[in-house]
Amino acid sequence: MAKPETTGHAKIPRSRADKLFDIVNYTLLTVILLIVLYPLYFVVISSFSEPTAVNSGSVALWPKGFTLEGYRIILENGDVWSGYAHTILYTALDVALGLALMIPAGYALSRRDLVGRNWFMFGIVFTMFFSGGMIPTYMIVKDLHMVNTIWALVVPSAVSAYHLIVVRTFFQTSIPEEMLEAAKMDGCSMFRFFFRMAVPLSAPIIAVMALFNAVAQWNSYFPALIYLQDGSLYPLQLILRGILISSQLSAQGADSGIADPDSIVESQRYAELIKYALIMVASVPVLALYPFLQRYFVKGIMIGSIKG
Amino acid sequence: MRMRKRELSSLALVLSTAALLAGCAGSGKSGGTANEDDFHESGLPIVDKPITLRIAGTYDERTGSNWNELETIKELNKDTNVQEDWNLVPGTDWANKRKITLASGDLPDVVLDLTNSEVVTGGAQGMFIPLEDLIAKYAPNLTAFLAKYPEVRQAITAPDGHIYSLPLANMSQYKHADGNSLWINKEWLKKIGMEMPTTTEDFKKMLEAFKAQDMDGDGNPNNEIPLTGIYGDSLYGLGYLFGSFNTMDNTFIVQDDKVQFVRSTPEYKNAIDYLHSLYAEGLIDPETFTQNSSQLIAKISSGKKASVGAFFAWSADQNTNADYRWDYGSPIIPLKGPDGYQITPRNNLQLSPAMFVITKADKHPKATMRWVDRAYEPELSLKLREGPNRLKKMDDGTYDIIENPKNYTAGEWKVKETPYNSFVYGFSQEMRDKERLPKPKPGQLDPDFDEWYQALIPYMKSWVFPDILFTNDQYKTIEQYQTDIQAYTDKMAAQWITKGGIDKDWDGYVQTLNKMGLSDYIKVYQDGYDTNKKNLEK
Amino acid sequence: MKTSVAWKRIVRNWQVYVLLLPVLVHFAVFQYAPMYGLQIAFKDFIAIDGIWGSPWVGFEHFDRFFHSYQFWNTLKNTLLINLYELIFDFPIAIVFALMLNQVTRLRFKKWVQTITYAPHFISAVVLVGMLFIFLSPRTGMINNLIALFGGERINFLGEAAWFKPIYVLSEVWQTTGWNAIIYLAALTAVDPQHHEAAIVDGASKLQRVRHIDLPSIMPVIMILLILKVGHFASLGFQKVLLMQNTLNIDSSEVVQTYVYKTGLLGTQFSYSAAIGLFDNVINFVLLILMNQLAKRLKQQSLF
Repeated sequence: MAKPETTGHAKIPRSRADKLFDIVNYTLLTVILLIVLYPLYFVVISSFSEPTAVNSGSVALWPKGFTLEGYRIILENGDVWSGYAHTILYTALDVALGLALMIPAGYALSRRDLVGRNWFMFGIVFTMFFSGGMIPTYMIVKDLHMVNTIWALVVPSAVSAYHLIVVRTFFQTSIPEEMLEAAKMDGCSMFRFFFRMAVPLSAPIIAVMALFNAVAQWNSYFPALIYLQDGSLYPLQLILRGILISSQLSAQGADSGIADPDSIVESQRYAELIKYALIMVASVPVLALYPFLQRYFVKGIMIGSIKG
Repeated sequence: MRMRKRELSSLALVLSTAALLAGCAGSGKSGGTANEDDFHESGLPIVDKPITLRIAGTYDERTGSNWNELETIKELNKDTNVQEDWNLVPGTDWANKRKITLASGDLPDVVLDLTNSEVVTGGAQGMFIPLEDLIAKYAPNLTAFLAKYPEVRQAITAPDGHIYSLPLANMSQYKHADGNSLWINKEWLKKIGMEMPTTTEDFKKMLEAFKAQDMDGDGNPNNEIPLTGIYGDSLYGLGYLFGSFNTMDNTFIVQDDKVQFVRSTPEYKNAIDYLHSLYAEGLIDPETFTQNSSQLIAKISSGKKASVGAFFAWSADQNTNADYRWDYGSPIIPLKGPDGYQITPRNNLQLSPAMFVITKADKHPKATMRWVDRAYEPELSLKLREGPNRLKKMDDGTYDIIENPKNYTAGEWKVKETPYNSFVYGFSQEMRDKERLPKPKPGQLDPDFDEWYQALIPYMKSWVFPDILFTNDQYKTIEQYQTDIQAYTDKMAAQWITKGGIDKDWDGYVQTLNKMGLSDYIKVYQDGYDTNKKNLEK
Repeated sequence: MKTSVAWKRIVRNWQVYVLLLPVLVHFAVFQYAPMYGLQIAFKDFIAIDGIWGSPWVGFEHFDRFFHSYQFWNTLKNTLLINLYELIFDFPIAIVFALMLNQVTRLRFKKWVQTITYAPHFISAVVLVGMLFIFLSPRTGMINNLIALFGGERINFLGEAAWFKPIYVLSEVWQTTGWNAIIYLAALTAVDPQHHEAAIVDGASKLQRVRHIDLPSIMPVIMILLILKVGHFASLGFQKVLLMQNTLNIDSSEVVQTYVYKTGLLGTQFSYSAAIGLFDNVINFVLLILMNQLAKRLKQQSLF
């Protein structure tokens, strides 16, 4: 049965209103779960189905025209495996670098004794709206000799203004001012306080940032497209895009008269065949990350630390 | 000491071809003469010391991105001492990659597969070098091809008179035939006791019968689709029917050297009116306006039995289910309209002018030109187009077509070992004649057969706007009007076909178009056409 | 002197600046150094001349956009879709997080969380593909249901009026679980003592959610709300583009799809930069207004 949860109030007998609340809550969540689940299930069964059956709407509860062809095409491509390896490496580096930069900075920005705090914040928010665009950024990366190296994919994307703001807000709301004052009284230095108190208290936000950076890096292909010349460094997503000739967007080639019709229809069938399998291949590994990180979403550590 | 030896050998080379080299020293701008010294005007290798060209482009996934392993590329490079460092990205991402490559100035030696306006702009800015002199001197195969097809030379010549890009060209005459045709279920025709319709009137009667009766015999007369397609699509669109109203489903047509904007003409109005009369009776699938080609193909091929009476495509057998694909047949020639018109476009041949440019970063433009010219050599062009595996050269100089193996689809087999449509070739009718193509079985004709083209010739009108390059300013003007006018006319057409009201709206519609700048839009095309015509006459 | 006081505080707190410094360097290099590129919105970008060397054209690109036939319609659609997202998408994630936070069965909670966040990984192409399949007037299951109950089949994707609801609802499906993650993390910081005290006072669960959980994540909500308002003039264009057709174009053409289409022919760096700049000036002004409003209301603000 439900263990006494960390909130620690399960021992008190539930009132009728609470029972009703629970019933409504669980029912609603179950309904939401099913609504979200069905299209996901549809993706799964479609990935094993004949594409024309999927598109004609006759796939509903189980795969039709069962085929593993989509998976075969994807997994037989030798680049996919090296793509996985690269993506895992880039993701790990991106997460490590992102956390190393953003957690201290987010904490610093949350401090009231940071002179010019609002100006720093303004400067960071400003970049969310105004940027020099692709070309100057490319030039900078090139001048740093990062083009065609993994650093071009990891370093510029490690920090995002949005994530930084979330970290800062978390620190601002979750670490009470009096805690800092108490620490100061004890003669605790800023570094010491940050590493000994703030970091341990921020497990949930570290988990969230790790997840956000990991997912962003996992799904990204554009920097790789722009900065890499060498196909041997390509991450998974770029390789998968190569396999999927996105029919909707490239069919415009038909109008220019280059492509032969039979070749268009074939590459389209091809694309339809692997469309759903591709999502599975690309996402299942990173989907597994979330349940793993959830263990850090735990309440009540803070209280102990303040009292103790 | 080694240095000295090399100097000596290159000196010998210079002496042996002294006269010719003196000629090209003037044309070659820069690039360091040291590199040019070991270049050969003719024969192999092209250069004594191997050079590597950095080439950026895109690839067909069925080919893969490792072009150095392709049989055709190996043949292209053979004994030339020219090697390539291919920087290839997936098709959908190529536009982005290309834009940043060109804009950042971080240029490779050669760029493949650009847009026409990029070529004109980049050429005018000096980013790409003019090629006409290099072609004349070092590209005998291409020169011969351009002499045979002046329209190709015309299509790659920028309005400033320079040639900045090399084409991919398939000049087989059968490509004049329009790929958009009508396919009708012949079994259903038998059931309702009708012949293949020859007029728009009969066609409508046929669709009415398809709608009224239970054609697929499942007891439900309402689940058949009389007619489907994809509105506005060049292959699956409704354009075929426009010929019955003496017009074409193109943005611009040229009649007696005058450029017409089709969608403000009375002929167009009549065509839309007819389509509405079909739609109003529920004869056109409502999803014609929303579906994409994957959904259309699913619709016409997924059922155990055919559930679609008629559809638009270039062929039935490649789009429908193998069980009933030969149930569908085409009237081939256009239906006769109410005023007796039945025309079909004589399309431009398959030509992509902006396939290959040499950038100013290339230190070996002459060697590059000699190397790429090999792709226009007739036999290698044939292999690049049809795939080296599919051809078997016979003693009489013809080529037998080898069927694709079981584990390959026809397309995969064709694309294998060639860069396919992502590189250049020049394919002529002459080479097509040398292919021993399979004869069509009765009732199995489609636009890939010469017989189909022959049947259409009497109905063809050469009204299609030619393949030309505009000036940079003209492209800007086109850009300015194109999106808005296209969106507005598309929207109105869809509205008129589905809901009617064209008579009431027409005058206001034409007025709105004029307000949107239609006359300026037409003028750009007229100017482009006139310049082109003048140049062609020269 | 005031500055010397400030300086003293900076020196005393030097360690905070050390923590901040790496990120400042990152922003300086990757954000501020390239910012000279903004000028191409006022120039006619010519690749060979580079950004500095291209000729100035003033407000020509803006002028062209403001006077384009589609300007008001695209702006209206963009803002409306964002408004609908703000009304539906934004609060649903909060409510969902609050509901999920009350679940004491950990396994159930974990399942719900993992499954609801999964749609984030579905690409726009596949999402729109599924919309077509589910909503097809002939074979789609939604229409089959409607027909089953005797209703008239609806060509959902072919009706201008249906475009925005479908867009926003599919967005809710795809983003709710993902957006809830931040709130769920913030909810872990709620002091359990407050709950215990409230329980002793006889507060029901619903009351505690309203009076303890919600207020304690309010700062996070405010910050995300400010940031959301700061994206009001922008919209990811790929999904819109895929859902668009000639029948629904009147309600589906947004600024970003329009720019994409007008830029198809050429490179158009300057034109799209100008429209991007216009969007972001609107966004930024909205963000500042929202931020000041939050300050006025004594709520959490960005700066």
